[in-house]
Amino acid sequence: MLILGIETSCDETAAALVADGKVILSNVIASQIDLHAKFGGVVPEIAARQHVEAIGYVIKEAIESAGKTAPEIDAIAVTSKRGLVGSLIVGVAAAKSLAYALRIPLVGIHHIEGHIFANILSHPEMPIPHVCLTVSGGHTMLIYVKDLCKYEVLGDTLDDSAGEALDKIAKFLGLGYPGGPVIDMLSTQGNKSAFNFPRPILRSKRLDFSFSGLKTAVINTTRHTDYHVPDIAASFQEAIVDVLVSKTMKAVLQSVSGAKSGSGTKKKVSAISVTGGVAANRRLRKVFSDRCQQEGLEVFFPQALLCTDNAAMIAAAGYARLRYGEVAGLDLDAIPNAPLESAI
Amino acid sequence: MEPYSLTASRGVTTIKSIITNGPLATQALGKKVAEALQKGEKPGAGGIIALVGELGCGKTCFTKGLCAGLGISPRHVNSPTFTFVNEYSGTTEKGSFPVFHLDLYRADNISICLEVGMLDYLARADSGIVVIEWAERIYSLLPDEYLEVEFSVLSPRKRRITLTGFGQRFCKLLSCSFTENRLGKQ
Repeated sequence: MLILGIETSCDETAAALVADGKVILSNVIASQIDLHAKFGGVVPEIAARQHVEAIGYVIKEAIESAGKTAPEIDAIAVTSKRGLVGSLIVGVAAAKSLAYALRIPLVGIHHIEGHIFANILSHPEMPIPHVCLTVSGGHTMLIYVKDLCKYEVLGDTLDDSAGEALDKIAKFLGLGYPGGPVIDMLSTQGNKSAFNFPRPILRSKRLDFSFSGLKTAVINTTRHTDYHVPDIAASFQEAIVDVLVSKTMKAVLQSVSGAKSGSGTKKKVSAISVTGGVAANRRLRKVFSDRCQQEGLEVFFPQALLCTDNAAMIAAAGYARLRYGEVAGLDLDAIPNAPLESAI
Repeated sequence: MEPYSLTASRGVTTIKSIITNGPLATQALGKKVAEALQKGEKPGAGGIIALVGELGCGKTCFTKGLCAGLGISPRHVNSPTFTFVNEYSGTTEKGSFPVFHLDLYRADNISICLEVGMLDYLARADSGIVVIEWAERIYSLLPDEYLEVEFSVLSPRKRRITLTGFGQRFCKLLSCSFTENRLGKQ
């Protein structure tokens, strides 16, 4: 089954062809990062306008570079939930018109579900159930993946996402956009123990995240102390990594003990899946690998191209949803703040 | 929908300055503002709350408190920097109404604000509440009646929060509801 995936939820216009939810035949991403860099972040209006300009070419390129033709496509999966509304609408409109013209099924995918599938696509051997941490500019979420397309959200951000905190601090320090890679790079030259930044709500039993206080603490420090930028970057990154890893470990322990799950007994979790743009952070990968080795767990990171937003992961999720018999009508709508829902 | 006037002639103003001693106190002040808004005649009592202040000064924190006072769980209120706007459903004893939480951090000039539909959100303020972070970017679009909340950082935790009411309704609201000038433990 050949599925065309389309993703325009934030700053990448992407389309991909994936066979049977497993084999990536093409994965085309037109990034707007250079454009946004001038403004120090994603500018909604620029994002939407660029998507409109790029979407046609990107879809055409995805089909041609896979050596296929449009009539060979069996179904279309598109990100319709979670993102900038103006950007989502562009992808959804393109997907609907193609599905109508080709008379093939359409399915709407939650952006976060796409990230969960980025790792399933990268590592078909990854065990399910597992705990997935998806962390990027737009979200920081801990999810118990019970089965394909069956989720329980364990924790979410209460204010800023981890990627957003990285971006805002990078901009504040004058380091440019996107902030994650710059801070990752600078940190290797800095002392991660130079400043002891707060580890927000680390002591709390809840699995939610909060990075706003950490952001404020970094800003305060730069006001009252002399500092070396790489030291600030390294210490700040260490605090973020520390919180992400510790909360994820806590989530695995809770899943193992099966405590207060409204949805029946939980199976033992032996694997952690880390996805999203921040999953490319080298320090995060190192600390996760070390901790998982200590605890006898497996940890999986997507291949580089599947870390950031892409459409192959949307096609893979679409394949799984279609197998559950899910199909969207041509009235499919873009919903910017939709919750992550399981397949029925 | 009423045509939206771009000319903003500033009428009477009332200013109250309050010092909060930490994030919880900043949140509590947000809640107090929400309660004061409920004293109006309409459900939700409509209105625009313009938040002004630098990165990390407590704008989202204040909004969490404000939303809590409007019956929205603070868990659901997070930074809309990425999505530009979060929409919540506020509920009080007078009924339900939409609450729009906007963040202009990434929309740093007026034309971008206009393209993302700023005027639509402002026009809907009559039937709900519109909270705008980084509101200094759209001063010229604001109507005659709104509440400005300006945050100054005094120390790592302490903030001076200046509430300025523009127009009769917000002036009255400030003079009736805010008599103390300090919130939180010393």
